[in-house]
Amino acid sequence: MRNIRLVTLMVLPCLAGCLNPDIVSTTVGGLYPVAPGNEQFVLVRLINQTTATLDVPIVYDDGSLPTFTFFVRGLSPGGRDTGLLLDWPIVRVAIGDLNNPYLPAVSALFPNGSSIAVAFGLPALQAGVDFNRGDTILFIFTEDSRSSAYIRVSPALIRGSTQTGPFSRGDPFLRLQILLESTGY
Amino acid sequence: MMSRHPLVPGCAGAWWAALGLALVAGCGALNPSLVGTVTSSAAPGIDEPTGTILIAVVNASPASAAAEVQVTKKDGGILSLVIPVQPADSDPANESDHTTMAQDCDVASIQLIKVLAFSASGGYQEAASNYLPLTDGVELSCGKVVVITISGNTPNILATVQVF
Repeated sequence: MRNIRLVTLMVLPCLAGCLNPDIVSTTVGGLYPVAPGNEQFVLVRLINQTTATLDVPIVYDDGSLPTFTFFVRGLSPGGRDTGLLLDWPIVRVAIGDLNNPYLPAVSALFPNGSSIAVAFGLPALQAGVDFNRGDTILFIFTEDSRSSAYIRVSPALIRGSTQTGPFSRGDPFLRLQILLESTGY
Repeated sequence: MMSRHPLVPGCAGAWWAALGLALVAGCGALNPSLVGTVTSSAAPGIDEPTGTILIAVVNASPASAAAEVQVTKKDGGILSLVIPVQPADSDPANESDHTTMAQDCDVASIQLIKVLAFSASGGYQEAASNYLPLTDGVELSCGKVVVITISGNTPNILATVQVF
C-alpha cells in the first residue's frame, strides 16, 4: 500500500506539469498563445528588468541585402516589454549588429542621469539552430554587476511547437496572418 | 537495519530522492516549453507572458509613414512606440509596408497618438488625429489585433484604427 502511494506521488506531478500553462496548451488547449506557433512569423520580445530606459536596435536578416534594423526607443522600466513580429523566413537575429556582437549598440539611461552603452555579447541567433518558424525569441535585459556594462542581455526562447493550439480565447497570430493574406500584404 | 521497501533495499533515502526528481520533472525541468536559454548564456528567471496583443501598422499609401502609439500598462507604466512603415506596394514578398509590434496582455490602453507621412520632397504631413484610447475591457482584450491603416497620399493622409 505504501509503495502504491509513493509511486502515485512520483507520477502525479509529471502528469500535472505543476499546472504549467504550456503543458495545458499542448494537451488540452490554452487561452492565448505566447508564440506564433503554426503561423509564418517569429516574434522577438524585449523585456527590460533594469532600472534604466533602453534604446535597443533589433537587427535581422531575411536572406536579402541590406539587413534590417528596427529601433525600439525609450523602453522604460515601467514600459517593461514590447516585441517585434517578423515575417518568416528570417535567417539571423541579434541585438545591435549581426556580425559584431561586441558593438555597444544598446543605450541605457539610468534614473540618476548616467548612461552606458551595452553590447549584446553573443553571436547572432541563427534560424534552424537557435530558433525556428513560430518561435518567440526573448532578449532579457537585467542588471548584473559582473557585466562590464552593468547590464546583461540574455536570450531565451519559447518554442512555437508548444503553441499550436487550439486556443479557447483566440489566436492573434492567426488573425493577423489571415488579415494580411486577405488584403494582399 | 533492513529497509522495508522491496524495490530499494537498504536505501530508504533514495525514495525521497526519486520523489524529488519526479517533482522537478513535473515542474518543468524536463518541459521543453518552459522558457529556456538558447545559447550558453544564462537567462534569469522570468514570468512567461500571459498572452499577446498585436499592433499592426499597415501602409496603403505611396508615402513612407510612421505611427506613434502609446501603450499604458495596467500598473501605470507607459511605453511610447514609433512604428515606421515603407510605402505600399503590390508585392507580398516585400514586407516592409507593414510592421507589427506585440505586447504582453498587461495592457490597460492603447492609443494612436499621431501618424506622420513623408513626401518625396522631404516634407511631412501629420494625419488628422483625434484618436481615443482603446481600453482594456471595452474595445481591447488579450488576444486582440489592433490594426492601424494608413491610406491616401500627402497632403491627404488618413489613418484608421480597427480592432479584430
